Amino acid sequence: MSPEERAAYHGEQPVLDPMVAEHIEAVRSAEIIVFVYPTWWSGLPAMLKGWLERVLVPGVGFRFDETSGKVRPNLTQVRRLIGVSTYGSPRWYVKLAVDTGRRTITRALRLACGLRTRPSWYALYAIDSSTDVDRTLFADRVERAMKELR
Amino acid sequence: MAQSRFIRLLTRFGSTPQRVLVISCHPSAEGLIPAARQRILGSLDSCDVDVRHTDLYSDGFKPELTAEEHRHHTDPVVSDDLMRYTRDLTWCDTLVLVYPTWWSTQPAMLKGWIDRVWAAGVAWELPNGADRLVPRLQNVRRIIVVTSHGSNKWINSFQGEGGKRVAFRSLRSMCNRRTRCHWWALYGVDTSSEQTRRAWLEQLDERTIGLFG
Repeated sequence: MSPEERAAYHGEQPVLDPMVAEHIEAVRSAEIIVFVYPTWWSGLPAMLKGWLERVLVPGVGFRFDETSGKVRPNLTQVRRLIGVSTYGSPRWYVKLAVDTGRRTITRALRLACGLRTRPSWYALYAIDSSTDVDRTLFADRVERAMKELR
Repeated sequence: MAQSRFIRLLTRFGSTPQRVLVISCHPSAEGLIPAARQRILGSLDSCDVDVRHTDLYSDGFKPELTAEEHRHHTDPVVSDDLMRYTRDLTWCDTLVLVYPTWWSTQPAMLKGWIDRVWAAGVAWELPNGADRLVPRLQNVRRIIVVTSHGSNKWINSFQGEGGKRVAFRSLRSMCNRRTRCHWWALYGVDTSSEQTRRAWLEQLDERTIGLFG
């Protein structure tokens, strides 16, 4: 998020970049959003984190309640949030200790959609020691899931 | 209080001053986080410590890990434009991160600093045949996070405190085994009063001086 965008963030017109406006159009018309990314430092890559910050501005991702000033969901048309990600760490470690990226999407972003939105997660853990078979199975699983999307 | 300060002075006698690296990240010059940054730097100024400060926005840091960097991400090669950041990180014994929490974690700008600077050969290495990273930042003995949350503590707990996990678990796992962590956060900023914010800023002064003064 640039200094100009930050200055405009709480104003009438928080969107300055035409490319961001296109992304917003896409988000507004979406019922299902799928995130595909590698997990780095347990979270989203900076590029994707920047997408959340710049595209899901007030009036798009959420809105401020006029009386209480609290954040309210604004992506209520989104029925499903899906994540497909790879991890360097093994599953037990990710589940026990971190998994920030998954939480950012299935909790923080889900709060912006409403609690009726259903999150799903497809992950390949410990990729540094994974075999070709593991990877193929993972790709097949993701493909099957996408074909069956409703 | 007087006694503890005396003991601290004694134990520090003859040792080199602590080396504090402050990484701040906020797009504008005004606001709560820039004020917190000023407080921290001002308090550190009055302590006997060596301070290096980088503001990622005023530095024009590029947060996107490049395709080239990704291709060679296990090679311990640091590109020229990252050299300064790497030197600071391997120099410090205390790392202070000052940032606003957005979407439950660090802003993309700061995440990019982590993605790019905490690289192979700097923060970790993966020896041949190993399936776990070996931490390399043995110099970092303390991590302090100064951050603000728009929403309250309950919402942030539900969201999973992503920023805390990244700093105190992921980053810390690449530091010294005895690295201590300090979480100096303000919650509910969207609905907070001027007074609460001022009290928090004053607390930052006290805490900084309590640790380094």
